[in-house]
Amino acid sequence: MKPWRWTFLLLLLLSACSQQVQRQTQRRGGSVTGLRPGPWASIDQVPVPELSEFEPRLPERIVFPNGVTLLLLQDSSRPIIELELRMRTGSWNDPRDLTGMSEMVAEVIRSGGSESWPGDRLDEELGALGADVSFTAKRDSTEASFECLASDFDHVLSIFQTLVQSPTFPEDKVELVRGQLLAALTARNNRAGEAASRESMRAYYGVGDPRVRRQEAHTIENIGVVDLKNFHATQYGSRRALLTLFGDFEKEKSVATLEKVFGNWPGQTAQAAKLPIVAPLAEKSQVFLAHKKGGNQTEIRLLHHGVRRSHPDYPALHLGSWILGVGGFGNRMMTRIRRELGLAYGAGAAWTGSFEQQGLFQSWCATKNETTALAIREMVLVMNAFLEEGVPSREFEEARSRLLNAGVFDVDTPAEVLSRTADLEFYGYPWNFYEQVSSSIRSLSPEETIAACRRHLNPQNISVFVLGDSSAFDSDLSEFGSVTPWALEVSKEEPSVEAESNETAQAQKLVRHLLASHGGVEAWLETTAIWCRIQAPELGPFEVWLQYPSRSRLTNPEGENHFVETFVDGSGWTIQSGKPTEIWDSSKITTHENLLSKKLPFVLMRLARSEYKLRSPREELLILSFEGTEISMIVGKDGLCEKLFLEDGSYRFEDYGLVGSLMLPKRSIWTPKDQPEVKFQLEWITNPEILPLWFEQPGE
Amino acid sequence: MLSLFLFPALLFPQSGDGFSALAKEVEMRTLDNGLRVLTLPHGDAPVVAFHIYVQAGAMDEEIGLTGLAHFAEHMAFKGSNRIGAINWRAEQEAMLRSDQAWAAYEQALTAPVGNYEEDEIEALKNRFNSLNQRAVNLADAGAFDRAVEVAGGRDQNATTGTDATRYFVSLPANRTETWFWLTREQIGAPCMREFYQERDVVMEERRMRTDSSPVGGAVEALLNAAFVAHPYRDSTIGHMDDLLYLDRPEMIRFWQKHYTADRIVVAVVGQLEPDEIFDFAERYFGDFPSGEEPRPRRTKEPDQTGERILEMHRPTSPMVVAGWRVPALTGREWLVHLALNEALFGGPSSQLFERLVKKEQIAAEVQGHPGFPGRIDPTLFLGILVPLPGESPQACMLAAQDAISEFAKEGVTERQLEGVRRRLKLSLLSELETPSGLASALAEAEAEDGGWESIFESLSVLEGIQSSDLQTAALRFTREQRTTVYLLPAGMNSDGSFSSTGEVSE
Repeated sequence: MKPWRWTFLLLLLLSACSQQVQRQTQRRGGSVTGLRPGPWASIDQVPVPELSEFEPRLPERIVFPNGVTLLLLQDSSRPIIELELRMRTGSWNDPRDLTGMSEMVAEVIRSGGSESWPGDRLDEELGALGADVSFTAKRDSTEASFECLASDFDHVLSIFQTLVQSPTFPEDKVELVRGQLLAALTARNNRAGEAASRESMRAYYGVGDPRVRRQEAHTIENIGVVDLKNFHATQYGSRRALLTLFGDFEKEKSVATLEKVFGNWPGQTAQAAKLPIVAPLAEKSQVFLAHKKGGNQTEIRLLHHGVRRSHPDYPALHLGSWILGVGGFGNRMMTRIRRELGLAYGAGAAWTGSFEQQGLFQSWCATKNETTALAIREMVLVMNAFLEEGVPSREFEEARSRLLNAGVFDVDTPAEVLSRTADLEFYGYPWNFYEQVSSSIRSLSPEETIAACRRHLNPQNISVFVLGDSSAFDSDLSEFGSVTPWALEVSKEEPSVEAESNETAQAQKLVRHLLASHGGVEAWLETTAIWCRIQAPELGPFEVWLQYPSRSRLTNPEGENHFVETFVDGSGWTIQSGKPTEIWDSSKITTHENLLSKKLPFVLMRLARSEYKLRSPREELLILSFEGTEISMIVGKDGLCEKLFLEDGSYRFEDYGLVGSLMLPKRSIWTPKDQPEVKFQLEWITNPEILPLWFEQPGE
Repeated sequence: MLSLFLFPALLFPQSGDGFSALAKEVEMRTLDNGLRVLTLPHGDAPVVAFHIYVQAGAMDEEIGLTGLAHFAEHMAFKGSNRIGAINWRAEQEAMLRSDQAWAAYEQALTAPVGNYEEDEIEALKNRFNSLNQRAVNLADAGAFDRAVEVAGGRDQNATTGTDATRYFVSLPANRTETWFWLTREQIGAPCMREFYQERDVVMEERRMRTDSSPVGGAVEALLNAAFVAHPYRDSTIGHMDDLLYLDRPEMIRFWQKHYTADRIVVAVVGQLEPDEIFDFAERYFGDFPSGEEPRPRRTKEPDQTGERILEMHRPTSPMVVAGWRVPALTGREWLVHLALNEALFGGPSSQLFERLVKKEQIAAEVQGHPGFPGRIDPTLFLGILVPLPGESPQACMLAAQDAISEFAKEGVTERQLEGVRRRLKLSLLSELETPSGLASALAEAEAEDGGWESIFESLSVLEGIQSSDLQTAALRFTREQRTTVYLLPAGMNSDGSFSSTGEVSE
């Protein structure tokens, strides 16, 4: 062939090849939609200029003579003013048997108004002004606030003042609010997520813990107008209250007006609620199973003790939370549980540090019933992997970037700055607290971070709370710990419709009062054992363990001849100096069981479980029958047991005090028939450790 | 006080000029392909809010493909061939092969009984699973989300409705180009990876929102009954059976058909230079394809000629969900219905609260939702009533209907009307407090209400709304134009009584 032909052929071949290559490249590197590649081949190449410096405007702080602190921040972008008053009272101040009090007070103030602004006139006026007033009782604070057009500030403030300082609590509005709260109670388990979050806390803390008390129909029903007025009169006041003012206000004029209104307002007379700030320690794995028929999803909550925000490990735990389970979609829980396994729409985990309370570590997700156990297993695996293997530095740096780079958004609007600063001020944290945390986070290493997380999480001891249709679960969940069924609602203690007589009805009312005064039904239901140390002059001390329903163990720990006397469900024995000396037969058992059954704590445990037939022939007298035994009790005006009668004498109980959340006497006086009385000093522990081997019959 | 009545203008003070002044700062440019970009410099903090409004939603789905639009929105976060790909060529092939394997498996599942043996079906399923897993292992699907989060992204999310799909995020101001780069990949070239995994997530979402939620179920039932022909009938999350059979090629087709430049509005608000934004828009979005066809028409819903009533039994306390037919709600009509909602349902001084909660004390709560599920086609105005324990749900509905009819006849006093205007004004201003609120409102107004300017005109439109406007709207709320769902616990009838047989109906 002539040379030019070769060239021609070669060119032809080459051009065909290059076209082929081009098409292949497009198919290989091209997008699915056909869009050509745009600027910069990868995200890492996109230029990122320096972020401009930004110091958010902080509020100004003024303190009134009575200690009320005012924070103000001006913003004239909208013709609106917002004022909030935060007082030191809340649901944690509710009386034990009248939970819901603080919320009811708040709602009735808004609905019922004051003398100059009664409810309906108040609604109409606020509606016409387009202003909003609200009272919200939280746990450790009550927020009273209003929002209005700037030009209406003085007028709305004067209305607001009457509501805060002199509400009237009219009866018709009290009943209206009562109806609304009762309605809300019937609906409180409609949303599984909310119910699970609330009940898991109650399970973890224990229903007797005042921090997780909740409203019940009978507590709402028992709140009277007098109670509400009293709560307001003693709980609403200026003591360490916080005011925040935001919007289009004129500073000098507004400060002067606010000082006039709130600057001389006296502090509340009631003491601040003294609540524990320590969370229950996660010491063993346990499962609480709330079975709810009909849904096809299960809500899962895993709980463990955590830290307060002031804890030195808080910055590391905060960063650990962003790696493990919060801050968008890039954390481990979302990646594994949602994206890789498709088990849930949302999943997360975090140490939720509180300002005053020791917070908790929590992990959560919602999955279909059939993958409940699988989801829990996988969540625990994620936690274990995180703690055991640590975090590769690239992932660590990314998480840190996510956290720190998003930090500007915590302060990007003046309203947010004010709100954050108000929280810090209210809880006595320095205003640069978050900057300190960010600074610590900047200097943390992966090793330090994981070490801190290890100190505050042991997945072996996690509490599992589950709300779903257990008939569809993929396992009985016992692999995660001992399983306790959890009732979403406590059965009501209403007088039965077939009340036989006044005696029964009166007895039921008396028992309700008795149980409530002794710590509440739930607390006694939670109590399955009691330990008591009994001291008498010239006797003892004795120690006795009582385990519901019918076991006891009595010893004389300091006696020369050490003995142990044990009763177990119908049999009993004594061991002296290590040797069994007597094994009781059934005749002797009955006598002792009778004696045993009249121990006050046993009586209360049984009452809480509705195991007695009840009779009350006269006002303070209660007669309880159980399997042929009759017990008589005198109940004092305060609802506490005053006297307990046995066949051969009686007990008198005095000097009651709180043991956990149970009310128990520190002193009992035993008066045998026709004999001088004996005084006992008593010390108690609730739910002590019980060793199963105590109740193994010797010589078996 | 009297003077205020004579001079209504005084009720709207001159301050708030800060707000109207914003209008002068808004700029809009339309690219050659029809994509609209809005900018608004705003605020002191170095942050920027981005909002993408796509005029594509659940109502654009075809029969048998419900849930596609919402699912597609999920898929948009999985990256493209340039983000999230570890080995794109291999991954692309693996995805194509797993799509084919899925099609084969689906065919076997839906074939008449007997066409395929049990173990044949099982084998097809296993083949699909292994191919799918291979595709998944060749990618890092979390890379897109991570990139946004590492950049400091906040409030990144997306929502799908009947009318539209929105994507939004806020970023520190030095990440603007980052956002454009990522958005080009997300909106222009999503590769729909991890499709089958994500389907499980979406099904879980359906369980959470609709199947496990009594109210969610009631709302879905309401839509199914109120609309017999128009796609507003089907809830956005999609029917479970449709979700099971959706496949990747269908999703890509939906994206290419509906996510066209002419149907996209982008709003950017915060610390920015408008020219820089428009420049980025041109470079990163300028070659997005324009739509070849207009948005598909939706079947017109035939007239409703009588009340439709449903009873649903679920483990819940009772509730009534009612929907009245209303016309498309855009522009002025939208504001009128927002005002009507305020007058009827908005707070303690509203008509229904006054009557049902305070006076007759039969309801614990009343709520109104105008323009549900969407608003650009004739739609519904939803009312939700929560009866007090022991009260009859039917009696609640009757009282509510009566209160509305009375309102339509009597209207409101000037003082009450002024209150409605004010409350609505304050609530509108609240929405527009933040850069993200502004971005969202600007994009939506541009797409649906005739132009972004309508936001700033809304305050003066509000002033012009009279009682007669509200009454005319309320006149449509008749029993005949109503669909009512009684959501009841097992054994309860809609009048609040309990049936003795304990029969449960659906």
